[in-house]
Amino acid sequence: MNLRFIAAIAVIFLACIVQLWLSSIGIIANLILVSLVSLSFLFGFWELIFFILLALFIVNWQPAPSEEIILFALIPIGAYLLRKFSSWQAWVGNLIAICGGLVIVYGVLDFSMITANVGTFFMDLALGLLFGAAVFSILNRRATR
Amino acid sequence: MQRKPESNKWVLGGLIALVLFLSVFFPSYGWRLRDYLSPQGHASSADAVSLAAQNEVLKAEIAKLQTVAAELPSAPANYMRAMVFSRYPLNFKNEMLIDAGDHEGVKAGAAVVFQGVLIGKIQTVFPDTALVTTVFDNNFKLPVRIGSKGYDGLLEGGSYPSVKSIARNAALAPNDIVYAASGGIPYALPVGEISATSTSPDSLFQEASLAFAYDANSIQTVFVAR
Repeated sequence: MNLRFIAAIAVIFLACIVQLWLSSIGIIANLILVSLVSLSFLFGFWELIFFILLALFIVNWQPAPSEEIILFALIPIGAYLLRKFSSWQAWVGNLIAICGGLVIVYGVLDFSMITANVGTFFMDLALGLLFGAAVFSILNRRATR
Repeated sequence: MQRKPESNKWVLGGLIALVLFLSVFFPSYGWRLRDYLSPQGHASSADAVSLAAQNEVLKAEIAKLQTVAAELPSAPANYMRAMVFSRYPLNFKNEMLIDAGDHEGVKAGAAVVFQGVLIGKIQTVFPDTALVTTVFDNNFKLPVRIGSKGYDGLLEGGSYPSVKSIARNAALAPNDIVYAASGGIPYALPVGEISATSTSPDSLFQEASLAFAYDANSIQTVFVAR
């Protein structure tokens, strides 16, 4: 286990703390999902599986699978496949995957939230892109040093 | 390209197995961890102040509710206490998991109350836990009555719950009590108070927004109707 791997675990905890704090003051942001998507562009498959399981362990709120949990698991794996099979640069793919992931989450869970609260959705998207870009930039720099 | 040491694979495999094991057999550790990470999770002194304030608010509520005492339920004898384990972490629903389930006799659709106020219904029952859909969930719907005259309406949940389909000629006033009038829920359980009224977009009905004497995010214990 290297420092980058531990930093990725810290990112998941940080995303959780920030997401819960923002939620407590009425700001919606799906930062845990965004952090998983970004990590899928930085780590190997089995490391990603560990990050997903860790995030689901923290996020899950009931003793049974739900569509939210399934989405949380599948979207980062989808992003990993996007990274493997697309020719985009990783940082571009990261941003596209974050946008796509959030649209899929809203679309599957409650599409009316996009139409009814356009501002909330775009705030979520903007915060997600900022957080995802920061995570990618910091951890990618560590990897290339 | 640096080759990963073989031991890293074993450590990673062990970590995956550990998290998987905890997720399957001890999910409550995850709920506690999230509770600890949450800003409300370890603010016990702030909670105490909040509860004291809520207590005063509820005392005032009781005095007010005595005006409709005949319509209120008697002492909640057939209720069981349950602790809130975890809450839905995203913004699409408003659900909470409580530590009473099938083994304790919890039934789907049963009323869940906090300080005598209806806050939701049991949605799914697990062996030792149950999932509660609160009045702040977009899918929550409940027939209700309003005030001492008992005007009918339909409570629609959401971030800002409201009562819809109220007759146009109903004489509503701010602070009128809204209470449950639905099968499976004890009659006249208070839900909230009217804070403002308006006319529906089609002008056929009245609508009312509600005020609540509690903070749903800080509830730690509830009562479930048997």
